[in-house]
Amino acid sequence: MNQEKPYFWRLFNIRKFWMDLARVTAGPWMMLIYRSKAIPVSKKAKESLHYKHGVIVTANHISLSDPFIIGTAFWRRRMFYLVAEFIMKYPIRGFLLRLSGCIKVNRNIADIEAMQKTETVLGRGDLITIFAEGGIQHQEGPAPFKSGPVLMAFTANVPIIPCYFEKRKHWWNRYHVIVGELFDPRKELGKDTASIPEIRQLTEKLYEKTKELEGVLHHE
Amino acid sequence: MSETEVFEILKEIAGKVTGSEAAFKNATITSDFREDLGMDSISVLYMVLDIEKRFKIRFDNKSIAQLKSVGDVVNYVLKHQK
Repeated sequence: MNQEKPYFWRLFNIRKFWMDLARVTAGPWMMLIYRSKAIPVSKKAKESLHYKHGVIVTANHISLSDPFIIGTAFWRRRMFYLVAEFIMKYPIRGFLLRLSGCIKVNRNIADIEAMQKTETVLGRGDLITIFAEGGIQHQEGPAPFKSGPVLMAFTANVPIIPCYFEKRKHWWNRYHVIVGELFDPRKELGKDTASIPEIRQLTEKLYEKTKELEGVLHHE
Repeated sequence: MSETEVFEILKEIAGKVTGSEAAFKNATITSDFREDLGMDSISVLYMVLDIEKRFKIRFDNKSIAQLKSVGDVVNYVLKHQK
């Protein structure tokens, strides 16, 4: 396991120069375009926004803009994304996505290399966003989650920040990203080892928590 | 470490991962993870992560694609273990 890097290293590091440059140059434009607003559901959930260690952010997936919406809601952190391999297979696009912190994952195989990379990133204290439904969904509300994010959080021993947002009604509206309380799979289970059926149960629990966030958004 | 020892540890890991240790009691060296033991890709992934930690070895996607049976994994571990 990697040693967690100091917080300053995670804010600026010469090896992540291009990624940070993209973040500071494109970030303000993305903020103007999407105007994401992170809304914590409780005082405890507010801590999620300021969490400074390795963490996974899970969210529902409604369009190709979602990484920017989540990225601007968590603008304080350098953010890595888990992206389907077919999106990164084109040379120039793949290069740019890799530069901006995307980790490719092949959904058709047991992708151990993606798992190892995420463990490294989380181990040094960075943040990874995963759209837990496994692809863009067109239904109302969140679709059932894949077990991968919980498995990653469990093996890397990091918590998950569940988020939920919906399409805005008009282009001038803000995106409201509802941020839930930290979900720690090991604490939830009360032990350090889990079987796959237990990982699936935890995934179901995370999904239920995300559905609760949907309810909060509709009461806004 | 002998082949039998690796095989026994592997059975223990697979049993813990799937949550049914009894199902792996009758597993043999030729048992197929997917067809005979009913493991899906996420179970295989979790098992491999556990094997990596236990034996201090690394797998890659190419090698995982070639691991079909318990014997394949035992051979891989014996070959790569330091």
